[in-house]
Amino acid sequence: MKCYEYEGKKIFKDYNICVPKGQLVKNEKKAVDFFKELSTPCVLKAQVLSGKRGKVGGIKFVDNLIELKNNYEKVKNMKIYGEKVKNILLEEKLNIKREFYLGITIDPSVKGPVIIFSSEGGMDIEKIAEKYPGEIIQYNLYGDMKKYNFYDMLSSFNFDNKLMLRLGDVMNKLTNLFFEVDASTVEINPLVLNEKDLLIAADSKLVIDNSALFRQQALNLEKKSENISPFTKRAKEAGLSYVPLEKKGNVGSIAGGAGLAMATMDTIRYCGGRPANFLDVGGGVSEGKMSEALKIVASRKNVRGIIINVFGGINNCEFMAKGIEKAIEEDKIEKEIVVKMRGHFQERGWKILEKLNIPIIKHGTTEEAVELLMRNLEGGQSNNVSSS
Amino acid sequence: MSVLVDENTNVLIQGITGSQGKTHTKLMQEYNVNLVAGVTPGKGDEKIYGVPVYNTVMQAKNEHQIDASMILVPPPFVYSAACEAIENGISLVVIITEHVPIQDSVKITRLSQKKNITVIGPNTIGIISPGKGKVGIMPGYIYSEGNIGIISRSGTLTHEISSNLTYKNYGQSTCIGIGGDPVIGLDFIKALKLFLKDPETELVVLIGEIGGTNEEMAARYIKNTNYPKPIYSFIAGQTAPEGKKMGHAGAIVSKDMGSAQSKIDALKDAGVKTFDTLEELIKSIEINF
Repeated sequence: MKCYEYEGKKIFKDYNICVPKGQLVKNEKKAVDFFKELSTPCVLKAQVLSGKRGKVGGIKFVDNLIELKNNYEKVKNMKIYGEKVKNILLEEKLNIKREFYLGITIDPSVKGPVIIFSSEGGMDIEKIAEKYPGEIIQYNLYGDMKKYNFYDMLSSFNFDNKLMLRLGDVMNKLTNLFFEVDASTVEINPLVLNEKDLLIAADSKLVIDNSALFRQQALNLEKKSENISPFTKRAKEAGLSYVPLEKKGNVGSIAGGAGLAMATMDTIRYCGGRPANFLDVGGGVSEGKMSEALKIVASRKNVRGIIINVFGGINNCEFMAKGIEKAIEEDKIEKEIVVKMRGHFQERGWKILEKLNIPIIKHGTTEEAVELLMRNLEGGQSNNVSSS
Repeated sequence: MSVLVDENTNVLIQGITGSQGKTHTKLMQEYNVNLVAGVTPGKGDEKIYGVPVYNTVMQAKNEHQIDASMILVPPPFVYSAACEAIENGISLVVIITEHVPIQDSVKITRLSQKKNITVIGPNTIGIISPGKGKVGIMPGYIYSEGNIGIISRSGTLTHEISSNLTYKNYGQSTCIGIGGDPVIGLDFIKALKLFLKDPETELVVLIGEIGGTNEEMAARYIKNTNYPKPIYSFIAGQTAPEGKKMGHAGAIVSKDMGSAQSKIDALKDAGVKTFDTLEELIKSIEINF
């Protein structure tokens, strides 16, 4: 789960990583009150999950009350990359002497977390890597890091002793945070050195591993009202992994497993169709879950045919077939369907589908199944497709 | 011969008393797997389809020879279960469970490296040497005995390619689902090394997908070692739009590496045959093999 900047900073504070003085300001009056309290130039920051908000005006510097009032509503009413601004963070403006980059993420190629530091900050790490390739260090992290490990990592830079100690300290704290809150990514960019030679996290990017949320309840993270369509929301509630693709997509797909779901999409395109969606039913598919999956894909307006491509491995073919039956009966689905299904309890599953007169690919490939669907669509059998 | 699993592999199921545990106990017995014991803390002395249940792995080990463990416990309990199997020196640990916290996977992987234990997964269907044995949840009858080794990140694509090959009378030596998570134990390179040494495996099918750099690293290994066995490959997600997360598969298209094209280019450069669809891959096997 992605955290808002203010949530990340709250957690930074818990780990004694300095952040600018700031407050979430729910309305203009609160903003004015806090601005007066700080009595210093400030910055209004839209709290959204997407990056690069500064580029579209999601960050505004305000030096006086007039500027604050002028900009508060502006930022509040913004939509940033499709995401509505729910909250604004008002913070003191930092006096920047120098900017650094510090981040920790999981690197699959080393099967563990890596810490990345650069003596240049304030831009994307990809850009830093491009522009200042010599100014980046990257090291593997282990669960039992000591402060001296970080001092050693910093030895390739010619920092004065005081700065080296302070940077090592922030690295150590961020490492502890990373492990303890089950982060999959944490980033401070920029990490600012201010006029008093203090290191302050000017921004926060924190992603908590979704699979670990069960043991991170204490973080009390805000539920994110994701910018998703009603279909996606419905799919999520049913425990399905659903990604809508092009609106004009004419072939819907339901598959078991992310790999097969992607391969099914690829095959639809390969056979001349336009994939409307990605849908992975995942494991533990009940009758109800499969039924929801089919109802969701079938209710897509431009979808004329649907390919269902599943295995009875962790799932059960009989339950899945019953789910298909349920959806067709309850939603009166008349779109062309081809099912490719085999595995545990396949005979029982096939029997149910045969009764419904749904074409089944019992032994063939995904391509055969998609080709059959495309043929059936062309063959005019799709005349009875409802126009809803 | 086969890889990691054969007719002599004695298997333990951790989490045998859960609904998945019970189902797969029965299915493994139907496949004639030497399923010798199960473990569920607090359920010692029970029996699942005749298989004795123990409270701990050590207690099971005291009574039985155990070569492999299949872990079917819910995500919060995987870390402890996997460590228990590794600490007890069970040489093959297969973690079927999905949604394991990634930092737990990191710790499990590191411990397994230290103790020289092979961990497959998490988030995998497991491993099968058709006709001999399996430590996994795949339906055995869609697989068949033969000379093609299969390595795949995706479980259902392993089913797909194997069932299609089986239908066309091409059997498999061993099929390994290495798992769909970003951090996994056994990876493509380790699997390729195992197949290299297996005389029964004459051809390897490598099924990748977008996200991560596992395929690119495998390509480098294949090129550097001049891998002597033919490798046929398919990458899923070629039409996935950039930046969209496709399920839990760690399949995120981001940097230069990780895209379908990057993987296909790297594999081609290493002399691997790559295909647009699995159907084409199978047709090519029919022509050349």
